[in-house]
Amino acid sequence: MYNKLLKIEDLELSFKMYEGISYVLKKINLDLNKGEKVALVGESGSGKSVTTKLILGLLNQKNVTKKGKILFNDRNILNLSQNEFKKIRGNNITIIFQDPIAALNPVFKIKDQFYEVNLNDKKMSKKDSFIRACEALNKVSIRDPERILESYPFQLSGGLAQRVVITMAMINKPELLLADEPSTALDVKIQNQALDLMDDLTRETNTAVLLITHNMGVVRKFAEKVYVIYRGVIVEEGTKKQLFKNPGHPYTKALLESIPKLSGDGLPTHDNNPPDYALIPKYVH
Amino acid sequence: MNIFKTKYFYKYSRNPLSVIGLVIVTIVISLALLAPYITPFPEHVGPFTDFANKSKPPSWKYIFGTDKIGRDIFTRVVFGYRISLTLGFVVLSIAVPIGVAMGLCAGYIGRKTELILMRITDIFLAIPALVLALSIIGLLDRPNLFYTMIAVSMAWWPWYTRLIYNITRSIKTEGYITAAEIMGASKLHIMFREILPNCLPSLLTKITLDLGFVILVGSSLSFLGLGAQSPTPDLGTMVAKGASFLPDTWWFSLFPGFAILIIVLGFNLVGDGLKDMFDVDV
Amino acid sequence: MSASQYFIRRIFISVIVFFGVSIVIFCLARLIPGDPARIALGPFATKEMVEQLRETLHLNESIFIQYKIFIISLFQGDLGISTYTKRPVIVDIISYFPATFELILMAGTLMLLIGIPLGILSGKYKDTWIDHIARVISLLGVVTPSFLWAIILMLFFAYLIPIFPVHERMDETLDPPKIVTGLLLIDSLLEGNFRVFRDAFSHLILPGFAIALPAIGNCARLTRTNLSDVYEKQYIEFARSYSFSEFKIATKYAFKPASIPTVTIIGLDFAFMLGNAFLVETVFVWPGMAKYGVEVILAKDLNGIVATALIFTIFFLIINMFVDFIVLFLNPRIILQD
Repeated sequence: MYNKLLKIEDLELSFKMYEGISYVLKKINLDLNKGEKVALVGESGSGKSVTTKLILGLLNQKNVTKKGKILFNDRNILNLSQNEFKKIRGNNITIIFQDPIAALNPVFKIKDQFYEVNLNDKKMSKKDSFIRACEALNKVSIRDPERILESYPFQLSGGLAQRVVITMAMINKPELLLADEPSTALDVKIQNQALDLMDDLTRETNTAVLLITHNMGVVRKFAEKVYVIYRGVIVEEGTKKQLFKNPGHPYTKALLESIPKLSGDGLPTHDNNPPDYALIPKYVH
Repeated sequence: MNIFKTKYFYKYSRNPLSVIGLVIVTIVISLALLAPYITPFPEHVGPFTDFANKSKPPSWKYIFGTDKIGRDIFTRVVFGYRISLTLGFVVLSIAVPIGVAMGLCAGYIGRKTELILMRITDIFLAIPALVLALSIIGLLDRPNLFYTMIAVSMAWWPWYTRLIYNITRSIKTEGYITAAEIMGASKLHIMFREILPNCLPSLLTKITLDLGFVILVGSSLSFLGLGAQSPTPDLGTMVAKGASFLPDTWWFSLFPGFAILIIVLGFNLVGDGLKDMFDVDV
Repeated sequence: MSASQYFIRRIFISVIVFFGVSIVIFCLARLIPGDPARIALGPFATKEMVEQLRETLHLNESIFIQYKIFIISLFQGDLGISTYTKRPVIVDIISYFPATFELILMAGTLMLLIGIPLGILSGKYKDTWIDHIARVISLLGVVTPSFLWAIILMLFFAYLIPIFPVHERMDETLDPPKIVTGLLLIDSLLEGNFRVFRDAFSHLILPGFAIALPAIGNCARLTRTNLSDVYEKQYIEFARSYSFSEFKIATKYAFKPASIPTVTIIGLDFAFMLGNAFLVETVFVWPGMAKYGVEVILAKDLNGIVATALIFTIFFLIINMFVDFIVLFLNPRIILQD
């Protein structure tokens, strides 16, 4: 039987606030195979970003309650200690964010940040780190990696910075790459280039990708399997073909309808009183 | 509109320290306003001596004890609050309008005005506040409360210029400003009716914090002998005069000193609360 | 623009500001009500004496000429005669300034050594009991006037636990070291005289703290705020996601960006401390420029007051330039961005 790389079982997450308890994730189930490209689609506030934080173990506030399991290579990492997580983060699981320049520390050179990424639980001299980074940057067709490494983040263009961040994410050949709305902060052409780059690199290393997005166009281009999330509940799951051809859940239909079409069917009709999508049961293809 | 029900007050009251600050400030201001009616010995504020009761330690009759010539220190402290609060309000009433007007002009009118006004501001900012105030008072013939107010105002206005200048510069390019310009609004209108309202949260926060700090600087000046003169009860002067009699008659200095601390603390806590509530940076 | 261009520009601006300040102080001194000569000599001086003093001080000439004379003499090192000490003011400055300089250095060191770590602890362990205690200490520091701290420290250490001395810079029974810099700590070290070093150091502690405590409080609060702001930033989340060591994050990757706004305000804190020196030197009878300043103000010594104001302003301007360079060093954006 094929071992699932990542299996999220009945994951629940709630925050205790002044006004009461806020249920962010309500029994999420999701799985990924090795090398598979999966998209998690939903609007802002649906809980998709917070899922990545849980996978990386970065949600540790006092008022947080977590239930369920996150199985990574058959090991439940939901309540792992920070020390254990340190071995996984940056190594087996890496992440890229939506604004590449914001993700890089503005007062340190790129080479310094590569150094820390390279270090990750092994020993490496700064010189070796520099060479390794150069090689990696060369591979993604960056022509003068030495200059880039000696620069500061604000000196790079958005597209270049995104390539650098993707390189950092892949340099340790992770098993799972989390992409949290990659390049949403940049223009469409660069977004496409970033997705292409991610595709190439992950194919080479057989890295699975969990792509978090609100953009159905990105899903269409990149994903093999899709999960649709609405207010902390998975409302539909299926392959890309299934979803786009026969969307089952009304929410998925609404999302698809909001993509502008070139065929000129006019603006989508807007339902002023949408049903409570969370109450409609999940549609599985 | 019941102020206690607005969302601002809700957010403000989340922080217990801010509420304590508000309580302190309210109590002190009330004490100061009602001073003649609630203090046990209001006549001790003027020329008064009672050598029979001099240097008495704190007791039920004289809550903070009496000073070297028999005056009730508690009464004098409460009246001292009047002086301090007056100083705070007057100084800021002078410094804030000047500073704000200059900041608006420097930020909005044009390069030349900006250059001149900000250079002048930089010059005044280059002189440490207390040094400037000391110099001004020192050069006037006889120290008194009025001169103190003038001196501290002169040292304080540049900070408002800088604050308003920074805010003006950052919102100068916003859409609603451009819209007003296109509609033909005069520069004056834009400065005072469009830009200024956006400065209010920062301005209010800074004014509140400054009320405390002006009292601090003012009491430092009077500690050095440059504030209100006897027999007017000034908290700083009381600390200074009492300092030579430490530690035996510790109540001469410590109660007025503590009183200063309390009011500065109060304004500081309220100011911090406002800072969190409005989410600004001064 | 390169580092040296920035350097030159800053010095240029500081020089302009200095001249501006000198004009302001000068005008203040000349435009106040009352006759400076009469005030200096007192009510019992005769008309002739006052007139003679007016001539000596060039008070009858136009203000522009007076200013010109003032600036020229300034650059020749002549700041006039103090009517209070009856000596050339420049001599007064040389005698008294080192004491204040040493005191401010001590206060500044205390501010950095205590304020910054306190702020880091506060920011890192935000909303825990460590944070709460640190914040209370900072708050008390900020709201208590320096003179009150001076009195409290004096009371405590002079009467309750007498471990630190409360007057002057040095024990009278000891011989002072040979004056090289005027700073007792350095001069005594140069001589290898550790006894005097320890004594001078213990004399510096209490007044140093009295001056520094408000600044320590401010510095701690600021570091805390800036640090916790930085911890919210995405590049720290990135750092954590990639297992950068927490220690390195606290001391390097979060600290460096947070220190930039902090350092700028520290410069202003020095201004605040310079002001506090006047209060503390008076309470501790410290033979420094600030105590001299208070005395000349009370004595209405025009030249002394002007000189004091100028010295403190120059000191502050130099500190600010220093601070600007540290910021330059920390924030590459300033030079590299065009």
